[in-house]
Amino acid sequence: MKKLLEVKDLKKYFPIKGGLFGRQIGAVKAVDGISFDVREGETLGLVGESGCGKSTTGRLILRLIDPTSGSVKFGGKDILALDKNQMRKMRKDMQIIFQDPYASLNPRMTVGSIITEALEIHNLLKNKNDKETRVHQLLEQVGLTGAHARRYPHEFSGGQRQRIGIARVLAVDPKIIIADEPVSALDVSIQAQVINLLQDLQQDLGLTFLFIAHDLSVVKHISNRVAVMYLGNIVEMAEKNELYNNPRHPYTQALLSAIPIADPTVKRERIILQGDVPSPINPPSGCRFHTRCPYARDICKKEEPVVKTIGEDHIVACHLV
Amino acid sequence: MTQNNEVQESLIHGTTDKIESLWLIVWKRFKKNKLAVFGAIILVILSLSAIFAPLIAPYSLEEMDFMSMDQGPSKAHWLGTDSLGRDIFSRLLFAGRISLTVGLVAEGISLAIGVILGAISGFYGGKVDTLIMRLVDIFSCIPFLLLAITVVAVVGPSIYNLMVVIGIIGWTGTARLVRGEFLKLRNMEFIEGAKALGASDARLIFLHMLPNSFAPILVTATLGVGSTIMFEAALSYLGLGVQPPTPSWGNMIQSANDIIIFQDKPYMWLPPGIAILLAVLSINFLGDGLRDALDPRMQVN
Repeated sequence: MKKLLEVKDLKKYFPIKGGLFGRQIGAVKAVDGISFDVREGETLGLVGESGCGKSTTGRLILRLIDPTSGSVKFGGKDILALDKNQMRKMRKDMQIIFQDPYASLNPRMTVGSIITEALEIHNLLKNKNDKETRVHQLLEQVGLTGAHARRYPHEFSGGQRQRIGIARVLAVDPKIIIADEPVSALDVSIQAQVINLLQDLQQDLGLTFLFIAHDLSVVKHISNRVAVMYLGNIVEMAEKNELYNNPRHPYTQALLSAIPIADPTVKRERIILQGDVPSPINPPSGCRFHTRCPYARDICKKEEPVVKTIGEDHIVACHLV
Repeated sequence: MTQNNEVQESLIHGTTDKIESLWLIVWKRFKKNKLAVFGAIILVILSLSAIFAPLIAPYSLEEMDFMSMDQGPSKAHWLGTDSLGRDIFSRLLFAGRISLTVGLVAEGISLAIGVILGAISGFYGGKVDTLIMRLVDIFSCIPFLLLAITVVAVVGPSIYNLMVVIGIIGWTGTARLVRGEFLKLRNMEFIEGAKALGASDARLIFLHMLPNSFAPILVTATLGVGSTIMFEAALSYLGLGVQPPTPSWGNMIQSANDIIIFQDKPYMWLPPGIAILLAVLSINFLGDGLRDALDPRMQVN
């Protein structure tokens, strides 16, 4: 399949400033050299603990935050080289759905004008009636009705707002949508509805998703391939079933062993990690996971593991594999 | 629960016709605050009497009645006459025009400067922000009255100079406020969403961030008009503001400089004093009411 998005060695260091004159005294290594690609029409799941840099990755790809180094290619074009105006045109093809449906809609605008704005920014429709028809059509596409266009976001529930956010994104006909924990803030029953909506839309419109989440069962449901992040690095990436059935990185194994199984008779050994995620300001030397890894050896403290390909589409960064 | 379901139902089918805009909610909350409503009514009365002064005033502004100078309140002159035989009530109405206009225009000037600089500062951040904020620091450590007196003494007292001077001095608070609001909004997801859609800086500032900082700006602007009116009165009282024979509430109080008038003829300085008091007080009530009504953390009962 064609690669739609190629990310290579992407880094983001947030400077820490201190002292009298605001000198840089350190950096938070939020994303520290990650590479992956997303193929046309697929869903790539990006999972990891809070603070591992997965949301930052999403924002870096859209250039909502400017990367420290690395490259992001969309459809073969290096988007980090684009100037402000070229980037603005490019944004039509790349969109984002946010985590918090309560903060992601402008409270002063009606739902109709929120969606119309997307059309106006990219000059998609000139005629006022056409715009209105399109807004109604989009609202129906996400399971709302045209009458909702006149209402304000505060009149809707979380799930409905997330649908509005999706309608706004669809208005510009994007090729790839970065879904930044789109269901984490919703009730479990609503989560399923929104996930199913996203899957339906993917089929109907041929969308590509980068699905960022920390809920492994949700990711398993929606993704084709899954990448696991730990402290700014991708530690393992594979096709969904391969990763869930045959995890090779100790961190992935620990994560997967934490998924609850809805059957009390099944006994499973749970790998419980010691300690907390280390600070990204001073990440551990060598393999970043060695401080919590049950199998850590000397080499893990000294050398950073290289990314190995261990099967079709299965890569892992660990000395022990 | 049933009620909740109904609401849900009506939302899904869009059957309720009344759309509760945010402003309607604000108005509902505002109505409950008796003091604020009282302030608003007084302000409307004061503004109307200023706007229609030529129609209401029984005498014209310069008309002197040599037969009754320095008279107390009477049937012919409701609030008496001043030492030149001019009707105090008529002058009070015309003075309201000047004082309220100076207050509004001066506050308008400082609001414009404050909002623009604060918006730039908060939106772009970095060096621009540092520069503007240091400018704010400099401006706000100069004593307000002293600077105004100096500037007016140099450029000469007139209504227009007065408006500009007060406007140029008073913007720092607004700038800080708007900057703070913008810093807060800059990282909100709906701003990021608009950015991701490709919205231009101008669209972000004017269509997204300004409307969302409208509430606090409105409150400071309202309270600002009150302090500007006070400031105009102070300068006019000192003879550095509105120049006689044009009346303003401030320079009408000037007559109280005379110890004899102060002690024996309170009808000459009490009315403008009360007018200032009423105007500023009701503006402050209104401002407080707006602040409470616009605060999203307050719930409609």
